Amino acid sequence: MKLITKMKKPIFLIAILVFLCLTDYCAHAFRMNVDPPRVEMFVEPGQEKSGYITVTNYDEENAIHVKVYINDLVYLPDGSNDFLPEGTTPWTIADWLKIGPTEFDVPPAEQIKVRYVTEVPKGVRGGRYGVAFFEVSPPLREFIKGRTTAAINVRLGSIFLITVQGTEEYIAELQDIRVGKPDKDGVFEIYCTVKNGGNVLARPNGPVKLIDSSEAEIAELMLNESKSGVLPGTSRQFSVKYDKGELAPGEYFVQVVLDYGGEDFLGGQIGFTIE
Amino acid sequence: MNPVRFLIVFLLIVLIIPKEVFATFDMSIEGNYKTIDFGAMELGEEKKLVERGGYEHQFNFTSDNGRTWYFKAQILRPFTSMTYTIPPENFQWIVEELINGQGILSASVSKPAPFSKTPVLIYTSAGTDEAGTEVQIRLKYRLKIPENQTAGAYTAHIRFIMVEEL
Repeated sequence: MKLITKMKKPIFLIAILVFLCLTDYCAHAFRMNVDPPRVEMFVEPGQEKSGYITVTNYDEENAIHVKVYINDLVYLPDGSNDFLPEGTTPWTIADWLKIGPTEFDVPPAEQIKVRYVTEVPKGVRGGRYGVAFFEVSPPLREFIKGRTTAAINVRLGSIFLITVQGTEEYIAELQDIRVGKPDKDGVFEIYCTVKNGGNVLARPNGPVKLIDSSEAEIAELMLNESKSGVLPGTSRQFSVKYDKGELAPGEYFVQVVLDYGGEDFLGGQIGFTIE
Repeated sequence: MNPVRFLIVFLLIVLIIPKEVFATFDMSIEGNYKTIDFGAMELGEEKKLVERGGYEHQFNFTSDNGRTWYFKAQILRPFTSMTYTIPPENFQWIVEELINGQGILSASVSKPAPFSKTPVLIYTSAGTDEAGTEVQIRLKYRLKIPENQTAGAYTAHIRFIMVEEL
């Protein structure tokens, strides 16, 4: 009490405000943090590397029960990833990555460090990709008899990208360029399909130029600006939209130059007609 | 030490140091985060859960890792009672509101979308979503019991996912 009575009024108010901010910070019913959400490492063949992922439970009152497991992943047409059981893709991390503990409770307002160890065998090349999931599920007693209830699981992922140092091969091919028909608002899409023939993830990106028949540049658009990837041995279609606006009917060209991480660039050009 | 100075130093330590140490990639749920409870329902009944005034759950996402992340939902087990199952498409999520997000919702606001056994994209981040700004997504849920469904105590299991893109 002596401390408070001695404080000046504005400082006391600031202290109350800060306290309120802090309590708001912790007020959510459930809050979990995974740090880091991405582990990118280069490992020599025959070597190992390790580290920690910290799982934090911000709930001040309740512990959370966490299960840890690895999934493989693939790209979906919408650009997000789908998750497959470990060991089901050629680029799986399952046989290179050990992680533990795999099941634990995180007490209220505490954190647990989960250790991972990557062992890269000798004689292997390229990259491996996957995700370690940290999943929280409610106890089954949460189901209430006679009620129509859905239990909720929550999982956060930490993406793993492991590259065998000095063995990367960047090989890519621009398989197709196509221009779609304009929609009712006059917006059309330009599609580019890239095949990754290398052994590591490629992130093809670069300018797509629209050129008219007099070779004047009309617009420059960026394809795959977010640098989304193409997994080794797979193809993926990227697209970019353009509003044709006042573009006059006639012959035009699309010119594509993509940087995929290799020594050269991927390039291509096609003509199309606006009616 | 002067008590006021002590308080200021203490608050600086509490407020600044933890924020410098930890990377943020977190998800929180406001509302009943353990279950979605439709209560007792009749055959043929359709119910929409909006317990918190227009929505059932508020999902909060914060990431400062500078990478695209997404929010997905998946049904692990549809509403089942013994061997009887309510078709998964009868259980739907609806975005009521997106707050602070600069990214893309996969379904328009107020447009119902069914849960699916494969993870369904709800939101893809962009811009300040990846630089520490908290994104809030408010969801409500709808369930329709078919007229010819066998009576029973039906339970389901769903999963919400937050993960960065590869």
